[in-house]
Amino acid sequence: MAARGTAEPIPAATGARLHVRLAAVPLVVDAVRALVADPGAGATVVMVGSTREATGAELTAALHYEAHEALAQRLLEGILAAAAAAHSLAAAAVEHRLGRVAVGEASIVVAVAAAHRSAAFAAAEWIVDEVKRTVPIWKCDEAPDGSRRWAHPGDLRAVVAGEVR
Amino acid sequence: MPQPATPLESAAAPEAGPTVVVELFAGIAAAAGCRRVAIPWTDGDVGALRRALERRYPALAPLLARSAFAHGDRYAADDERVAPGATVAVIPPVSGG
Repeated sequence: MAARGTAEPIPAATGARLHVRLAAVPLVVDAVRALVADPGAGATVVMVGSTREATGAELTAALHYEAHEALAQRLLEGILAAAAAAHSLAAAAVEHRLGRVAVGEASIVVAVAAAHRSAAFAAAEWIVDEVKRTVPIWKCDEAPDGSRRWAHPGDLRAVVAGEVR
Repeated sequence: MPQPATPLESAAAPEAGPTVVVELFAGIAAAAGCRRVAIPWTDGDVGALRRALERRYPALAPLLARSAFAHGDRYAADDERVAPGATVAVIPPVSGG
């Protein structure tokens, strides 16, 4: 599968530069950071989520991600636009891996640039929280013995009931 | 990809009358054994489709109860109408990041 997503920046109402990509290829953290470089930014926060080798006593060999790509793309664009508006960001970017992500590899990179660090930290954390709360991306945990288990925590029906969009 | 052996279509015989095509993902596709299933459909809303899927896959009822539905690139409320011939996706609880 080829990398999907927007090649061109998405125009946002705030004028912030936004970038969303779902990719079946390894994420390049420096490239995502470079996308949000801005002369007006005094702070850039980059958050990298990666496959952890264990959760409690459960060992993980790799995570496998899949997405409803059209819905995920649109929701991610909306999340970045909302973060840009709420925190006066100069730029924001999010890339998420699809397919097999081995231990230590990045599954998500979020980068935001703002005038000051408090806005950049707050925006980056909010974006990751929203991705985990509403965006249709799923992980399947592959154990060292090859067994696999999909993660479906919580009640998405209740989450979206109040904010269908 | 996570489920190389999962066939795209349900192995069940094709439906003769009008249907709705339901796209399945992640743990729902793995449990159902396919990524797309045709449900006989004359008319109704998302809630009715939810109940039809629960009848088709009783073992999935608890997970379906916690799942949302999507129409195109938008989440769909339970009272949204689903026309015969439409394609709708079941979105189980998400775990990205």
